[in-house]
Amino acid sequence: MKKSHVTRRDFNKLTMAAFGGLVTGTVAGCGGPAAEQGQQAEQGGAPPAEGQASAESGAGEGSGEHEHQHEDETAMADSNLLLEEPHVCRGLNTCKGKGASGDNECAGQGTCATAEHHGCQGQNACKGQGGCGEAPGQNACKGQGNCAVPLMEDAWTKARAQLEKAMAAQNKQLGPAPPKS
Amino acid sequence: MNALPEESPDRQSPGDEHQSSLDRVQRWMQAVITHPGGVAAGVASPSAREEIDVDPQQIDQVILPGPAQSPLERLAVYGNAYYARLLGVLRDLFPALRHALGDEAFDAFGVQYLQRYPSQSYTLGHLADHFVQFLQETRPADPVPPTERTLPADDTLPPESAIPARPAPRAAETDDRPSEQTASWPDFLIDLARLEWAIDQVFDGPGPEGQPTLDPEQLRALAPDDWPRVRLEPVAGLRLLELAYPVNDYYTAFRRGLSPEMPGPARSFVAVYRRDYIVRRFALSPQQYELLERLFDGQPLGQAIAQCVPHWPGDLDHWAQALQNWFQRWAKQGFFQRIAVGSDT
Repeated sequence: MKKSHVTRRDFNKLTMAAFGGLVTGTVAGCGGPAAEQGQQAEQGGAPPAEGQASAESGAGEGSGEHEHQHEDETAMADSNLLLEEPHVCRGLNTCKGKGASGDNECAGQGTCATAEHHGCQGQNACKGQGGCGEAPGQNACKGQGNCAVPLMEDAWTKARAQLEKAMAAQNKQLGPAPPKS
Repeated sequence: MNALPEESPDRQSPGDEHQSSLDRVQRWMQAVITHPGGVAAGVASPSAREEIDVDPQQIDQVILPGPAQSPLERLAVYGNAYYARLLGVLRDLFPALRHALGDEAFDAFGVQYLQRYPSQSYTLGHLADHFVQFLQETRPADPVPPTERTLPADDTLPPESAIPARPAPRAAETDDRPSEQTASWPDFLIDLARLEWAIDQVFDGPGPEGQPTLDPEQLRALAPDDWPRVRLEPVAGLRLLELAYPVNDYYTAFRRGLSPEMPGPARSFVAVYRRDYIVRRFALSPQQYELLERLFDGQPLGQAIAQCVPHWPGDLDHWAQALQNWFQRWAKQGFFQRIAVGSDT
């Protein structure tokens, strides 16, 4: 829906939401000692660090010698979560009878999500139950999903492809996905 | 080393003659071994002949032959070592690109880059300053036809293009490949190089460490009427990238040792920034990217929101919730250094 006219009330609501998030995020930011501990925990599933930038960056020559320590803050995805139930959309069930209606004959033939449905980013109830983004259904934690469940079309395509890969890696069969209803 | 040919009188230093000769030889040798055309071309180059005016046939006036090597071969040892060192730096700077290209193709490509853009700085930190530009300059004008996208000898490449052909897929992987009509191997490589170069620049550049961060008390003290006028300044070094390929995911998979294959084209957005001396990447949605770009261009919060949200699909309640989540996450990640409160526009 295009919003050709945003009222002052709407505008205030949006600005208040943004500013409120800013305040909350600043309070919960990564600067304090307590937050530091949380940050370290968050990095637990990320790629291993290679070296301390502070120790190896040096001055002048040598930029090519060090390796970076860096993290993908949004890549906490674990494709193995796609192999677990509940699942986040049609065709993403991992076993017979695990679809939303319970009458599917095979993995990949369920008709809808069995994960708790929700409408927006961060509203997922548990790990592996978020939507959209680059790794739908693979979020590492409650509140880390990027969008709604059941999935939007693009996210479904990604999730299905990722599930097919994960199943193939375990030599498991996946039936054809049911059409979008 | 032989006695040097006579130096022209106007270049003769009045000081220590030995030091003067050593300086000349060092400058000459630098010009020779760093010449992108090789040491023979280096000896013949104006910059070398300005120091010691000998041509390659007379090189034994400066460098004696060894038991098994000619003077030029002896010089080439240093020339090759110089370029091997630079190539090693490029490999370290672009590990995922090297994975995508393969070692041999990456090295050939790197040598072409070093020939076109020889190192000009005392620091290797600037070695790849033109690398992405080089990729763009040498990008084939038209997509390489699929029939040429096998691992060929170099002579099947477009002569003006430095971008090697895409390696042939292994048989079992062909079904996972993106459509040849839509996938562009050069564009994917350019995007990947942009991301890796951004990571390196954020790593080496100024960052937020040691700087004061956003103060929640300062934010709380603002009156609601001030909120739309807040300008958010990004932390030092933060970069926003718009990419035609999902190279951030590719890069993450590479870092995890998953040997990723070239993905299909899909617009993607990522913020690259640093916190606690760790370079971090944060995938963004198109809407997040648009909003952050406006904010970091200096637009006040209210103006940026007012220009973005009306053309985003979905209802306002959805975006209000999203905005709250986004700003919370961005602030938590340390995207913002400070705020200023100014006029509405």
